[in-house]
Amino acid sequence: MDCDQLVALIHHYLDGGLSQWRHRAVTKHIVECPPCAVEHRFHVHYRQVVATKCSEEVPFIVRSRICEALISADPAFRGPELRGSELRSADLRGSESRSPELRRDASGETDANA
Amino acid sequence: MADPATFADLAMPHMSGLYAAAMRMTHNPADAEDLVQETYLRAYRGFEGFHEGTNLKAWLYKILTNTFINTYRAKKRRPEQVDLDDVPDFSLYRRMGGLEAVAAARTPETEVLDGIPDAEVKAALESLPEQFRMAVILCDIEQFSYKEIAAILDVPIGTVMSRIHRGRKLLQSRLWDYAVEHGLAPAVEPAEEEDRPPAGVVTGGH
Repeated sequence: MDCDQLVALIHHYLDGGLSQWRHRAVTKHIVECPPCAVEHRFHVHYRQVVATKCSEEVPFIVRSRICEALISADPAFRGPELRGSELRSADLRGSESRSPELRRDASGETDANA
Repeated sequence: MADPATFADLAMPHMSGLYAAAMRMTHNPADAEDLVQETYLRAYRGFEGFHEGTNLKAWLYKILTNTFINTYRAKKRRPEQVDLDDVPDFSLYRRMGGLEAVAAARTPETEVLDGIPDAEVKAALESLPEQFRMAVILCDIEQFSYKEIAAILDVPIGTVMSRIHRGRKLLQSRLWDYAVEHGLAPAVEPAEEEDRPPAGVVTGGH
């Protein structure tokens, strides 16, 4: 693996599109070659910036309307303790059985109680 | 009908990502909401046919994409025709001066990127031809594999890779144009666009 090969493969590498041995060869080169490490860092940062800047907070009202649409399609979708302001994904399975994952997901949404 | 609790558990956490993708595809909040709502309704109806262990996130994005193509886009008279070969070679990293810029402690590239407002990055992404846009969203933002993207878009893996590659170049060139126009990056053409100094020249070896 030389620097030219690194440049040619870096995107496939970051996309997870390389075979295992090639992936390892690229990792090894990045670790051993400071200039390529800089380039690798740039591309990683670039993706993070694009992903962060293009993220969207789902407005609470939109979330509510989507849940309401699901309830209209199937009344069984209604959780046992569903009430207006609590209408969000975590509530749909009822308060006793909420999983920690969903709890975390719901609390991670800053607009959940807006 | 699907088990409501399981569906809520598995599908609802993906709403933010689906909504963001829908915003980039439809360009407006009302259509994005409709698209996401329709996606969830279809997913819920089809949930019984969904086997646990298969990729629910990819399945949701496939429904989103199909719904977009079949309902939303069908209404638009503008059939997006792009010359898929007409994408100039571009690398933001090279254009920013690559390693030389870092070594010379000029504006770090990361600052240029960070300085572009969210709305401009969104607009740049939305300006990409639809085929490229979806591929870039699925790869760079949602981090699906080539194989998953091929399944979502229903195209061969080679096509997926080509769309991602070209979409990325286009997006980077548009971000660069914005950075130059707004003084975030110097408006100078680098002497050697696609070359960088050999390893060791700038850093003094390692």
